[in-house]
Amino acid sequence: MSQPILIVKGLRKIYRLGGGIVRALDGVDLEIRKGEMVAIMGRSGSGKTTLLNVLGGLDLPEEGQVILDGVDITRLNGRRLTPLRRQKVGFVFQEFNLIPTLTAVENVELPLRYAGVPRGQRRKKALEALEWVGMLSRAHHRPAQLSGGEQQRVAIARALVSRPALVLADEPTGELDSQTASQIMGLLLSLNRELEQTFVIVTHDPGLTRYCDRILRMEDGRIIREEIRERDV
Amino acid sequence: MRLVFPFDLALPEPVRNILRHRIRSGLTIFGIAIGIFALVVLGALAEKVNTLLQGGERFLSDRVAVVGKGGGHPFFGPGALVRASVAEELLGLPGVACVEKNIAMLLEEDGGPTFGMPRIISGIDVQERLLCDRVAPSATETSFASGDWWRPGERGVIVLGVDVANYLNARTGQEVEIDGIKFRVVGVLNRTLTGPDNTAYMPLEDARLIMAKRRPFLADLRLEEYVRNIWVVLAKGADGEALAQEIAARFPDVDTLGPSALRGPLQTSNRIFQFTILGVAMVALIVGGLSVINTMVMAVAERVREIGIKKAVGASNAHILREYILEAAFIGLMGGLIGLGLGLVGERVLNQLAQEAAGSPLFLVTMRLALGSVAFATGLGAMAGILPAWRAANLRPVEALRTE
Ligand SMILES: Nc1ncnc2c1ncn2[C@@H]1O[C@H](COP(=O)(O)OP(=O)(O)O)[C@@H](O)[C@H]1O
Ligand SMILES: [Mg+2]
Repeated sequence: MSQPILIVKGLRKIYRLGGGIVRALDGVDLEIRKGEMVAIMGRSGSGKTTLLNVLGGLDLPEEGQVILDGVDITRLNGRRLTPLRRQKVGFVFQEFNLIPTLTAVENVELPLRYAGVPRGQRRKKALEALEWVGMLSRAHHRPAQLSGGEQQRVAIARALVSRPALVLADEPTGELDSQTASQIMGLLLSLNRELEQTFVIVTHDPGLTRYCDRILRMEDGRIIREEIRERDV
Repeated sequence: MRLVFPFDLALPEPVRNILRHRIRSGLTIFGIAIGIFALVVLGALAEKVNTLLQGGERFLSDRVAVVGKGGGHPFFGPGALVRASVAEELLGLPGVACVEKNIAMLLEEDGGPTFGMPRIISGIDVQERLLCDRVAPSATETSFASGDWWRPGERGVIVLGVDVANYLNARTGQEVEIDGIKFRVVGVLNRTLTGPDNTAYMPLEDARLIMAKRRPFLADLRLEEYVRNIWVVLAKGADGEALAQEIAARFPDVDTLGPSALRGPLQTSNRIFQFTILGVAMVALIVGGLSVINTMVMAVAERVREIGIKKAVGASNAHILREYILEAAFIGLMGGLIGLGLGLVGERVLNQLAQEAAGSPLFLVTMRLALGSVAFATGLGAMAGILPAWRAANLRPVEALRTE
């Protein structure tokens, strides 16, 4: 087996709401190896989004460690986390992923733009990423001119464009019909195979877990079960 | 689906964002444009006076005025005649480059109040003028659009500043009548944007004649021996104040004014105009600034999720801050450009009206006023954008992403 790209130990994250507290993450331990495609399932409110945000350095836990590609990101402050996120993490969200005023290719360029990559070079890389997701012909369309599935393809290209160690997708098919959802999962799988891209994907749909190597089931801020799968696609 | 113009995609992101809400942005830009329009038009009024005053200051900075006892400032004082023969005696003093006897008076005594400089007659000795043009060219600054000075000894001739020529509707070679006396126009000067534009130059003797007609009580004086004042043009490096004192000591029957006494009244009026501009700028600042703040606060509130996404894909606080300040600066820039455009149209129209009503233009949009107004509007936008941009930059990505 390849080396772990992500090691998570004893994560805890608490939200205070009114008088009470919510244990959004309540002791999460986890290891993900390079090239794995991992699904996270669980009821709404079980802590999936919170976990993804912490794994990607968007949010900091109260306790525990997240070692991403050899760097303990829980020791970094906000200012240091931003460039790290730029290099090592790609995000795909459920919907309204794209900036409406920017074209598809400009959306894909965003991470490179913020990383200071020169204009010509970032355009080239962005077009290449659009090609991976089959959206080259739509490069100069605006999000409003694209279907939901096409928008998600562009969002996936954006997550991949800087070839991050880890792509985190939070219910990327949540707003799509089942056929489009299968196509998107199929796309993620082929990217996983061809680019050896590591994915962690939150999904509600048990049908879609057949694309993944491993399924983690969450409840009340904990991982309560882990299934290892032979991929059957 | 929203209308997408092809040119839209060629625009930078902040401009595209401004175009997302065309009416809202348009109103804000229009608000700034009105403020800048007012700034440009009132500024142009001030700049017109400013250039006039600056010209006056230049004119007065290297000379001493010799007037009769109690005559006061040659432009603003009550006036008292001075013996013409003093001029020849002054010419020999050290520090004197040349002298000019002068009889100045209003072109029309009942011309009514004027804004800026009134039109005047200036009686001069053309030989003295030619000498000054030669030894101290910076002191006169006149050049001819057509014609030239009259020859020494000629009478009934006149050289017109450009605004006087327009006012009298006269060209070189034509005749004009002043106080019943006919003059042949021998030259018209180029525009100087200052005193000479409003001046009609004529031989000293002709000016004396008009003065005598207007002031019958001067008739018992031997008028031909007097002038209204004598300009003493300083040689390079000469101390005007010291020379003024020295002349006053040598000639007990005259008063003298050195450069600082001559320039004093001009500087006061200059300051009044600067305060006027400042006042208008303050109003534009407050009104325009508040509406930019309002627009940008709304924009940030609408785009919380977008900001969250940008941060998730690697935008730092500084990136977001810059994007929003840039957007606000663009709003200011557009308002500034439109305001300047309106101001330039206003300058033309108002000058046309002023030309018809008063005979000379009253407004002057200088380069520094044009650039200054646009820069002011842009800076105003950027400043007003700081607070909303700061809020945008400091949004926490996780919370921003939870908003729809
Ligand atoms: N900003 C927040 N403030 C308070 N509670 C929160 C906040 N974010 C998440 N939570 C709570 O934390 C728990 C986990 O939320 P989340 O990670 O979004 O779950 P999931 O993505 O699995 O639906 C939920 O009970 C949710 O209400
Ligand atoms: Mg969630």
